Amino acid sequence: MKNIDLVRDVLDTQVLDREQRPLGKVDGIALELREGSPPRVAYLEVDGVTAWRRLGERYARWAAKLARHWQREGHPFRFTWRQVRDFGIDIEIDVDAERAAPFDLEHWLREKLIRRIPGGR
Amino acid sequence: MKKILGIALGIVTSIGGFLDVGSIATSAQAGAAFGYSLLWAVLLGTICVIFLVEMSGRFSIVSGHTIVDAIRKRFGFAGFIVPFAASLLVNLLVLASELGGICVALQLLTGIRFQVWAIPVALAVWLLLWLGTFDVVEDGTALFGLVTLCFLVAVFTLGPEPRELAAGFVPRLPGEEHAHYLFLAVSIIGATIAPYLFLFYSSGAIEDKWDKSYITPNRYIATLGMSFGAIISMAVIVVAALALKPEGIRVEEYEQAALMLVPAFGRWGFYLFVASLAIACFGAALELSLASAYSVSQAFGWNWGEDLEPRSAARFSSAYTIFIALAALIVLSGLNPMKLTLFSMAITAVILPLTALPFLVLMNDARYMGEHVNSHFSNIVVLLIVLLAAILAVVAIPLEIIGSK
Amino acid sequence: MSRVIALERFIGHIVRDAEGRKLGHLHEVRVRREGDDLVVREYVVGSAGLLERFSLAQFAREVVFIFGIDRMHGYVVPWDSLEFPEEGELRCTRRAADLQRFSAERPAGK
Repeated sequence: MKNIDLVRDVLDTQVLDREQRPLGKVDGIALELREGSPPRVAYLEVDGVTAWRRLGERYARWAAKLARHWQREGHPFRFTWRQVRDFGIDIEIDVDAERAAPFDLEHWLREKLIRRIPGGR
Repeated sequence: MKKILGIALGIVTSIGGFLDVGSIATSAQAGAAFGYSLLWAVLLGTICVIFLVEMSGRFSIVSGHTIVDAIRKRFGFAGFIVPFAASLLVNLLVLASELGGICVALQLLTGIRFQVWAIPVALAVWLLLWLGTFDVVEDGTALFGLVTLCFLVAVFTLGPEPRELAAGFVPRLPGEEHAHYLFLAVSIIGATIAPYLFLFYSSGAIEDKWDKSYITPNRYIATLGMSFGAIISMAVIVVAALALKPEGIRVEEYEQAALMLVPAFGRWGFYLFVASLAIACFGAALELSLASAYSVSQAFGWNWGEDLEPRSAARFSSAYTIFIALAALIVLSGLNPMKLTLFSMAITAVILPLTALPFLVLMNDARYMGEHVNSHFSNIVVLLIVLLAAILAVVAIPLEIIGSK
Repeated sequence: MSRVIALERFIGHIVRDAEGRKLGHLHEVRVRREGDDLVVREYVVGSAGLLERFSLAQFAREVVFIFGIDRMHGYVVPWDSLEFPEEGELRCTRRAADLQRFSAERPAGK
């Protein structure tokens, strides 16, 4: 497929890692505007704050304040089209979800909550 | 053979899962106050929910998406966030009603005030989700939910007049109490067409990995399951009409509703009612909590699944944990469980278009549905019923509030 | 000189033509693959549809589309004719009359 509709098929699409595990959604698309050349997609973002910013700067600030509790480095998580391995209903990228920045909340919750409650294993 | 078993299980699950605190409360009040004359509301709601549930299954089968995931993808984050937030809020109120239902059942049994049971009950619901799997939840709900068949047995025992029964299927305003009648009609429809039902169904289809061979079984499960479930709802109305209305017993509290099975079963009738209430609400509470966690996870692209251990899906598990905790707080606050239930159902009817309309758009989008897009007939049926319910609700809720002051 | 913009923040925004007339809302960005890169071919500016904004009226319009009662109209703007200013609205550097039009029976997408 040579042509892609960014809004229809890329934005807000589920992103999977190389093991087909959910990584997040495409929350943002960065376009590089160039002189004399058509704009190109610089990278795609998977980040909650980016998503909330689409509602307004106020929401982004609130989301960022919340996210500071669990976010380590690597935010916002970005990937380029070169890292895309498969593209259909979902976008599969050549990354390990467990090690990627969007999983910080997952790791934080595992530590704080799940570990402390029996049966969570 | 396996498919037939699957269909049977799906139907049984739908029956067992159909009755919840909303159906019981609204049907009991309706029968006690207005006899058979609100049966049409259950029928209308059921027709709509059959379409919605079938569509929900068909959508997940053909598109490979869950509904929530697809709504975000189709309408964008900002476009979907308001329906999403609204549906979560309503889910919370309904979950509090379901937990309240279990607590009230325990209060009826033991005499201990319902608020005291809030935390133990919430813990029990949570524990089952924490340690159980999707199949355990589904099958357990289905099996135990069959106790609600006692209402059907009661109908046969009490023997209603068929012609009088049939008249109940024609909408007709009663002589008095128009506002309350309308409010109950709207609440019944809201109780029947609970959005969490068809959203949960879509997640279930994905979790069970339904492929295109399930398109026809899906139709049977949706139609038969919801129909049988509706029959039980109608049975509650009929039993209330026969057992409570002649005695002039109005169902303002669950205590009065609990009397309705006594004429048919004697003393056991009370215990059957309590058991039905507790079990139906427990099953619904499990489904609601899961449905809400599914919604949040699918909206943000997290890993989700009841079959995953909490440690592997910490965000998903935390979501239902927080949800159950918040609902328990609402029950603890001591809000009248019956009133909370009725209003939650009416509010559901108001919010229904917010979820159903985007879903309808998806069902007509060839990029998701291919050749399996909706027929005009399906569109019209769902559209009419959903809009009707919403308009009625917007009118009826304020009138009910004014009326009860 | 190149600049990176957050495309998601412009979806649904109003686009005006060279004469300042409102063309519609930014609906879609069509790209083509060039090796490992995605390069913009054209933009789709449409008359209606739900775009990054919750609106019951728009939902109603989409439902109306379903029954084929109305159609979505719009323009196709080539990649070199849309400007993303630092401030203000999106600007098409051509006039509406010079743009390719389209009309869709059922909405094709967001």
